[in-house]
Amino acid sequence: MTRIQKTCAFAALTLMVGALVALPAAAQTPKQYPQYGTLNYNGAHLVQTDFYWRAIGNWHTSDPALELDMNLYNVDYFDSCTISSNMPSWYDDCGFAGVMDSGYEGFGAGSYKPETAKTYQYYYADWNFSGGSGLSADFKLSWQEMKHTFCWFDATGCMGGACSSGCGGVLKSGRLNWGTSQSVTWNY
Amino acid sequence: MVASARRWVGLLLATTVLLVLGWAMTATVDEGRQQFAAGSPEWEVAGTARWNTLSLGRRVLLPGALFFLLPEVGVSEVRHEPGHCTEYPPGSFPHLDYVAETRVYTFFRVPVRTFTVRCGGNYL
Repeated sequence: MTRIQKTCAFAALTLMVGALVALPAAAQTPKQYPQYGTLNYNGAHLVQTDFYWRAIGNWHTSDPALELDMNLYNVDYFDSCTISSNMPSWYDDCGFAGVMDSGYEGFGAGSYKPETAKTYQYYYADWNFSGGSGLSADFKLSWQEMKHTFCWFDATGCMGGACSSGCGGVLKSGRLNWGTSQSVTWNY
Repeated sequence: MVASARRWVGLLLATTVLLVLGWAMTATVDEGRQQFAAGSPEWEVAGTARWNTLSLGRRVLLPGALFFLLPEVGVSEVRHEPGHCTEYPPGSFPHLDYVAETRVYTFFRVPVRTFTVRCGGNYL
């Protein structure tokens, strides 16, 4: 083995060991949003999500809230929804869906106490939709850190986005097709 | 009594006309996607960033029921910044190396806030 080959082999080994050490560290970075989850659609009116946090944190306020929104880009696909969830102090924000939104409808499931969620514990948020028509709808499942913006008590109308950077993103995007069930995952 | 009622009706009409005019002016805001070649990464990222600013960015400013006060979002810039996106693993979404600048407008085309939307338009 020449000196160059030895140097290259050492560098490669160092990179591999470094990656092995760095990957779990990155995976443990606290996030506001659940890093792993699945979204199941039954092909009709039910969307179910199951998810967990590997590490939770990085909140921008001392009293954060978290909202998961099913944004549908066919406003006719569903008319309304109800939410069920086991997130801490969960809330149903379906009432605001489509209020003056143009071209999409956002159906929200939230938690007023997301900071108390336990890591590696499965939580769920289910959207029971009703009404609507159409064959398909593009969707984005998004998250957003919220805060009490307009009043101090827990009410959906009080909540606004917590900050303008690092407080929201897309967990999964795709398309819902009527009559076709599907299951997709996210893993960040 | 009649004069008072007329005054209120007039005020209501004037306010309505003003709101409609303000909204109509904002509706002329360029969405910003047309500046890019259709189907290009910039074009796709502009669309994604615009939609995500509509659904996520506006909430920073107002809660859901008041979204109508912020009716439009335009994309002012899309740029390529390789390696900036640390929130998603490669391949999670298309064009993760692109960043977009979006601007939220209120009535009369008044710009309210600019957002930097990272990771192919998926992370505010």
